Amino acid sequence: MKGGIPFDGVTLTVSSFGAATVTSTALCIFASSGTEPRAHIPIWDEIRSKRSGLCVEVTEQRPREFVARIGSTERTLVLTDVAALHGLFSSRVAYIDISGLAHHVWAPLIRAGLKSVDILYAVYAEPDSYKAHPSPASTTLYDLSEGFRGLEPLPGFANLAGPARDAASIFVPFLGFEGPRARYLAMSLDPLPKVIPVVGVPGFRLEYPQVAVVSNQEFLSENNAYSEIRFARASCPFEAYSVLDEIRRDNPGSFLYLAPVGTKPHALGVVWYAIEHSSDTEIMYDHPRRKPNRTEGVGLVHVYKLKPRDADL
Amino acid sequence: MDPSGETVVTRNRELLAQLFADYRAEWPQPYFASIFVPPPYFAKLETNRPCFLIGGRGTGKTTSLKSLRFDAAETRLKPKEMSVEALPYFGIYVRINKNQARAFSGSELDESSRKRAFGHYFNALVGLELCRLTTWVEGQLESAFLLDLSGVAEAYGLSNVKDARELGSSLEHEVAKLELFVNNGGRTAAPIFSIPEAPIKRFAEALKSRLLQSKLLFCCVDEYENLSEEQQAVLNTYIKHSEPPLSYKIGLRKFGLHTRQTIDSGDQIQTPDDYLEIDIAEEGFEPFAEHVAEHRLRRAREQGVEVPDNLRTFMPDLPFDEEAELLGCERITKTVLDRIATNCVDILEWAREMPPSKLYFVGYWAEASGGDVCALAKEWKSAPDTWEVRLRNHGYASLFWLSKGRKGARIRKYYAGVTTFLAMASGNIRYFLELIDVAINFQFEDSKGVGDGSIVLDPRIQTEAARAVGKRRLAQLEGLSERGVALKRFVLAIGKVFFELARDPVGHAPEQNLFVVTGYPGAVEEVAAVLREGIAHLAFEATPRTKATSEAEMRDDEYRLHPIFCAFFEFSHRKKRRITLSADSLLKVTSQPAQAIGEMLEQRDQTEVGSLPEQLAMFTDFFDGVPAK
Repeated sequence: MKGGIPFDGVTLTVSSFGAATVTSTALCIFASSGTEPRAHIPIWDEIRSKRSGLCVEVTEQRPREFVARIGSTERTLVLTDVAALHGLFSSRVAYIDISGLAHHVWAPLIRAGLKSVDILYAVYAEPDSYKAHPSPASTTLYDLSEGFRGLEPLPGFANLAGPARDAASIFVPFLGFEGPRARYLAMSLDPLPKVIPVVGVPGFRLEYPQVAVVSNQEFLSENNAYSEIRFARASCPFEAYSVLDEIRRDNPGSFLYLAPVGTKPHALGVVWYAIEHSSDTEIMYDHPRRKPNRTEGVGLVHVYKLKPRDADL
Repeated sequence: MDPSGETVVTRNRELLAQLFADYRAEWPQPYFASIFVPPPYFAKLETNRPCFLIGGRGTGKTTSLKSLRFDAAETRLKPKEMSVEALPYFGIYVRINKNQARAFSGSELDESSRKRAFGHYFNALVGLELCRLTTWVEGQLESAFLLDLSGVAEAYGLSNVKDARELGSSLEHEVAKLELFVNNGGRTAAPIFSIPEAPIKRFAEALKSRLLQSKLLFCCVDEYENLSEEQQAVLNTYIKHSEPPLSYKIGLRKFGLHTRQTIDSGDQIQTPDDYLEIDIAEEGFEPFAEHVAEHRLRRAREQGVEVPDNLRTFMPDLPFDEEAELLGCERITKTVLDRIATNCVDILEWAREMPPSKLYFVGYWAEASGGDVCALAKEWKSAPDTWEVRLRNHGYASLFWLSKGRKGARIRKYYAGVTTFLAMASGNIRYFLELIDVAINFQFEDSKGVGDGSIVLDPRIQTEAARAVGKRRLAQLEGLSERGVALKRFVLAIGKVFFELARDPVGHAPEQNLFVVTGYPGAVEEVAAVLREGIAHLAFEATPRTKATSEAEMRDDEYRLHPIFCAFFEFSHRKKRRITLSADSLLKVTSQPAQAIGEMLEQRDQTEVGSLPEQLAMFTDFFDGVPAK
């Protein structure tokens, strides 16, 4: 990382996340079992069997709302209903497992959680591997999405004002394996401002950073962005946050267009940064429809302590 | 080359790059005024009629609209030493930001609230631009004057606001309030929504009375396609009700008008009653594009770069005979002569007198028709007129066949000359300039360099540039829309089909590069939806052209790949003959491309991987992909 700013966040990384680690009074939000093994790790079943009233199991994710099972009741919550989301956090400690939740669902939950509880953890389970594309038409090697809903703000994250007229802008894509995504978002900006891409280094696997760069090589070379690449650990939202701070420090007064199309921990850092810098950032997201069985297995599990920001786990 | 010569070459290269590289839409350019060439339709835009300016990315739509903006229009006047007083209009420019527009349509507000909130938002956006215009005009006046905008402010629901600066600041606060309202799904206190179009009309009246005098006021709204149907209905109402001095100039891509409805139920916006439709592709592109390029060459000459002032001299084309020879027609001619010497020596002398760039055609015709070389050669000798016609009709197609089996050939078909580049750009000024710009760069990078005399772009270099631009555009397809990935797969598969057909003349008409889609209505419609998206994003073209504004009016059923891809896939850029493709086969492209391509080629033998051109060999995994599990 170019002159990196070490962030004070704390990550616990484990190969197997045990129920004993989770405070007994903590509220747990997670997706019900889906088509990806890592979307629903076994710990949640164990906790639900002991204290179902403290579990919010997201059973259905729709564009504007989600359905959750809380104890024995089922509720539909609108993603822009801030009061209702705040109301979910019935405990002073909460865990939100973002692994099986779509960005448009976990982002408003994280924002509500940061405001509502004293101690907030985000949980993310890495996949063991990604599904290879059987007939790649580009440098995109993996077959991850079946389509896109298109550019639209995450619920509650619209920025209608945009940059001030005389402010410089920067497009900051967090690069992933799907090369067309950063390009698609960039093309909605005309003219495209300076591009500062972020690549996950180290990656979940040794070769993943190279795959991310290769998958985006045309976009990077067209925009002369190779020399601008910044790095942040693929599994670390704190480094993602820090790299944005660093970009802001190097480009004072700039408006940042943030495209979290890389890893979910990076997206978590982006969303968190946007929550704290709402007037001079805009999240650009394309809402992919994920392919079933796009990943296999469960890799390392990360627990991020988002709040309070400087405490030990 | 001596150091000073090297410096001159570097300087020339930089100057030409600066002049031709503006297709990337950088704006504003410091030298905009000196290189701006009004497009042929510009006079239509400058009238008081509302206009819909239709064109894909790169057709110059945004440049035209932005050039109407007050500060750009002033810049255009400077070389003519004219003051702003000479301007018959002032323009403002608003670009529809898709992410922001979707904040309304994607919210769970009820329809009425969504429309009112969006109308207020648009009023505020335009109001902010009009405030900037007002401040700018006030700054041009000889004596200090601030336009009283308190009445305009009232129309926005604002009080204690007097002038443009105060109004601008208040409107920024209004946008912030609206943002909070939308982000909370309408659960916070609603701002006071201004009435659709009312504050803009009032602003125009205020400007007219004191600052505009007899000038018109153009409100340019770009990327109209980014609005939802509901939002377009709101703004269609503004356009329908607009009256001088206010006139709307709308920029949108093909099929970007999602509805003709207004918010007055049953009332629709119609052309020519309510607006003038300008389809850029139909507005004399070729002379305009040549004029733009020659204007830039002239600028280069003025700055000391030795280039011809005539574009056709700068970018020479390649005559048929020369191209046939460069593509290796002698190899075929030799085979033909050998056959004649063995089997019909009586016409050997005649055959030897035939130029190789003609005689090879006997070999081509023999393969295409399954005929005997000797019989065909004798026929040519006895009926030369018939064969001249045949050569005229099929000669161009035969050039593609010449490279068949020539493994490792660097060029298998040339694409050179102004006419060819214009055809490949197909109405897109950005493509045309990009083709020239890349060719200039390649020429400077070439080992043969640019020589000591006037810079001329070699046909080989032009061909390589055309291929590179096609490759770049292909790569960009994936990012153009939500369906970009599917679009690229369609283009790759159909391109491969036309590549194979161009290589192999047996059993089909020459120069097939158009297609129609057949099959069950549901499948045809599914394919047509992708193709329509492709037309809007310049991946495909539909012929004959119909009204290009609205998707609902699309009735074309004959398509072709956008000709910018011809050099990449190595088939004819000339619009010629069509084939029929099954919708079912096309739909397989997304998951089983190899099977889809095989079906579209009716299981005809395909070029083996080792003989594919380098640029196509890169996609072997796609062409030979296995069915997805």
